[in-house]
Amino acid sequence: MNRYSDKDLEKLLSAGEPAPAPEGLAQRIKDDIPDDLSLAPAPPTEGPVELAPDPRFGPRFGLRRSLVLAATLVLALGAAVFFQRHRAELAPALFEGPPVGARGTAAAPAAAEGPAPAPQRGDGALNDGAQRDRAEALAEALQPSTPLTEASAPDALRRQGERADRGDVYRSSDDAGSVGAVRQEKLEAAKKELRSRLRQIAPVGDPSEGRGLAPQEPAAAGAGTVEEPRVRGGRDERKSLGKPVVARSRASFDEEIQVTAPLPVFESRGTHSSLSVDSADAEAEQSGADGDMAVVFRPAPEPVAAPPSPPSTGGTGVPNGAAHDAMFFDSAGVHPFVDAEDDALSTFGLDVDTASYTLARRYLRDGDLPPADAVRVEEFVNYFDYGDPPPEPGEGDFALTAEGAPSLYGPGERYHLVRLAIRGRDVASEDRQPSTLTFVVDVSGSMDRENRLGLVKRSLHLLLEQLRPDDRVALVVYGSAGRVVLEPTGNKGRAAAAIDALVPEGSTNAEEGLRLAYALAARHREPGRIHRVILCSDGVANVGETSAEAILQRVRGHAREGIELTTVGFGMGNYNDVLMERLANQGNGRYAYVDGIEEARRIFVTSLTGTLQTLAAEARAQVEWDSEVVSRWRLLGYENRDIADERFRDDTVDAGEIGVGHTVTVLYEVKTHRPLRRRDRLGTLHLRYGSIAAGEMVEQSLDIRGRDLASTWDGASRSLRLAALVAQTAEVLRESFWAKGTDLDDVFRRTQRVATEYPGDTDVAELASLVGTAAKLRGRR
Amino acid sequence: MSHDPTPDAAASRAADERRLLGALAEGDRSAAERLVDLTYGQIFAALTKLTGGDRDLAADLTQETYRKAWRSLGSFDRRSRFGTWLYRIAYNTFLNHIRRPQPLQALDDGSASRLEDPARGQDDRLDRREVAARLRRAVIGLPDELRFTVTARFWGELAVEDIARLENVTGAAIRKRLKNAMARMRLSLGEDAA
Repeated sequence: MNRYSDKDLEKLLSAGEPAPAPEGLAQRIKDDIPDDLSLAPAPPTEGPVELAPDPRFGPRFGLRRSLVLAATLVLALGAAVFFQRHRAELAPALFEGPPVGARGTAAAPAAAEGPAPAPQRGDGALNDGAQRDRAEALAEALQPSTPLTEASAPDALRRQGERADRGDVYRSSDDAGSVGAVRQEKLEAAKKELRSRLRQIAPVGDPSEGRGLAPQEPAAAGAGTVEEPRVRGGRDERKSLGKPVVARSRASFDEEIQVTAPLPVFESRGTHSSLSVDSADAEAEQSGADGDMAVVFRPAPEPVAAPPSPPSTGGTGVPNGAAHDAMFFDSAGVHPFVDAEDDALSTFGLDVDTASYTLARRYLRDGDLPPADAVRVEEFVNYFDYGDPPPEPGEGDFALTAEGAPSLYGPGERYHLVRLAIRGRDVASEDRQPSTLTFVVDVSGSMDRENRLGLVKRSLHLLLEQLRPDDRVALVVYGSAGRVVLEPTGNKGRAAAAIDALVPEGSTNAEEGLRLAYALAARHREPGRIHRVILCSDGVANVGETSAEAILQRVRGHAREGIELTTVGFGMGNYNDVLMERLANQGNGRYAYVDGIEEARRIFVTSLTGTLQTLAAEARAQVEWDSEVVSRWRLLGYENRDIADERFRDDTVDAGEIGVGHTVTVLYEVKTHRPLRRRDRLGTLHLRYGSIAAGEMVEQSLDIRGRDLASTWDGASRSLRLAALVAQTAEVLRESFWAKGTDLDDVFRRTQRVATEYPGDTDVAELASLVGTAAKLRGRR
Repeated sequence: MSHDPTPDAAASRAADERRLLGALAEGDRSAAERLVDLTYGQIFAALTKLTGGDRDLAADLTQETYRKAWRSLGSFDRRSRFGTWLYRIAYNTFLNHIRRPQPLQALDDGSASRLEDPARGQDDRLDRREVAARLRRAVIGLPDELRFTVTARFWGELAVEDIARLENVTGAAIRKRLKNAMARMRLSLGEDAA
């Protein structure tokens, strides 16, 4: 077995004379040198350069750490001595080769003397799963009949190349400091992905969504001989690697696993007992060591985190064995920076949900920090009104604007924050289509807690007052069973009486409630009306005998027929954010969280027209960055809305719905190659959506130019500064890598200042106080 | 190791680099040309190894490497050596190339016979080219972090401390990576011969 020592390998690797470079190469290279080379001045410290700590190992060793290290060494030495003494008994079981002993410490030099440990599968330095992966790859690679060419590189190797490349791109063009960032990012992304995969019992999106690639797709076309089922086309794979979670988890999970399982309930606070990375070892193959966390997922023979339908909670049950007060969230990770040269396109579905902000507000008001997984940056940002102008009459459905400024929180120089605003046309209340609203109200036992049902009833009364005589309301409730309480009626008095009569009862059968509501809505369908099912629930769902996928499929199917689903969340404790958001996504509707009657007023009164009347369906945006100007970019938020670039014009891809008068705000952090000039074009925003007015897919676009950006932070508009502070607050609360080191107190002070520029806007004033609360709570941790 | 420059030569080279970078920062374009002279041979040699001996391809990739380097020069913070930074770009350029879909000619001959065991004392019968080809596959098959480290060390001929600085980790971490990589390669080569 003792074939190659490290020295042999080193010799082999170093073998061969360096080939002399071809003549003329130097000249070719020199001809390419541009005239306007710019180089940063030398770093301030002369002499030996201080190394930043490797993030995997935490901060630089201080005294305490040194002590811990010393203690660890003593223990390790003891263990080594013990091992040496009991070698005879232990060795056969552990090694075939000579023992490593104390020599094999982490810092052992590569050229350590003596024979190296034999390459056993049990070798502690190696990851078993990774070995298998590697072994497969090599077996493939070393087939005599398959020379390793670019075209035929085995898929496993190719994938690895892609992964590696993906990760490296960030390193190549940036400061050394971001290397740790990337690694940390990868690690976090992989962990999150793993967690989310295990939890993702109910596949989301259309099964065809995110699947493979069009045949002409480059990487797919050049792929190797055997198409493994879990291999996506190169582009999708790259996409998902750059943007850690979404594409991959959707694409491959849907395709590989048919799981029948209850609706997903995600635990975020407390322990991740059954969902830790460790427990997934059997299913997850980690390829790589030393923090290389490219994780490949395989379907489990039995769904690991898919217990049979949980018992009905009714407010007292124990869903999935989680603590009674567990809240259920999921995170799609955090977008990393992307090298514009490698990938200049950023594509995602638009989103006008605001639930994440109101949920976080509820937490903060209760004196708690929201769980990081509950924070979605875009939903924070979209909660606020930045005063963007609506389109001029005849200008189309949307007004697009761009602004920016040097980024206050960017990781270095020449970083700019760019704000893109997509402002929908207004429609007067009297001009919206008449609506038939079918409310599905959860009256299960859990709705009795903290008078959730009371809040629902008051909210519905508010809404009722806003309805026009030609609108109709129907009411379905579900507890242990679902039943129709009120057939569609225009009689507000009858509706009010029906709402008043609601009382909490029994367990939770959301499935039946939704089924009845859809049946009712479908029966009363009429052309020229808005048909909307509105689910009011805390999202704690026992879905009867049916799987989550079946419910989601039903919701999807009805959405296609024009009956949309809006979900309105109520309550705290056992609240299921994931389910509510997913349902609204599938139902082409909006997801809101009502943390108090004022939020109900906002949704059902102030912006009722926007809540009901859809302006654009399947709206998606694509920003094409100019890599000559922009060196790297990062989209803030929209992590769970990623769309593969090449599917921007694929209208079967599920995207977002935008109501009339709504504004979608998109923030990017971009780094430019050089100081920005007014005439520079940073990129172009493309918007594509199904225009309800025009009855067809429409595209609009806007160039983002240097002159749109302010040259200093203080010179930026109040809207940009507000958006930046909102986003940064969300970034801190979700513990984004990119917000590490941000002082929330500083954000607080700045938010207070911005609030003075928004006199009369209670939302901004409230934001300031919430940031203050969050800063205090974080300080206490 | 044979490819290690003497400490003096390395130090003077580093000093040259620093001087040229200083001149470049002040806008001296000819300093860029001198930097090319100083570094391109090593980059070309590394790319030749990475590409399995395809010198034409290596030359193209070398040219591409410098093009990218000039473009992203603004982000070079001079904390690591210029040559090290350049190697990282060359390495990425190579990986980008591998990923490119269009069919290209084979980089090396895959029909070579199985790698034999040096323990049998038959080293002299080994075809060097075959060994190199298999070794290259084993290297390319490493996880990225290890692959980068191994190629930077042995094919890019970079010093451990320079790689550490670029990767923003300690020299010990790099040596650990090298050791880990050797173990993996030994395994893959061993399985190959089995």
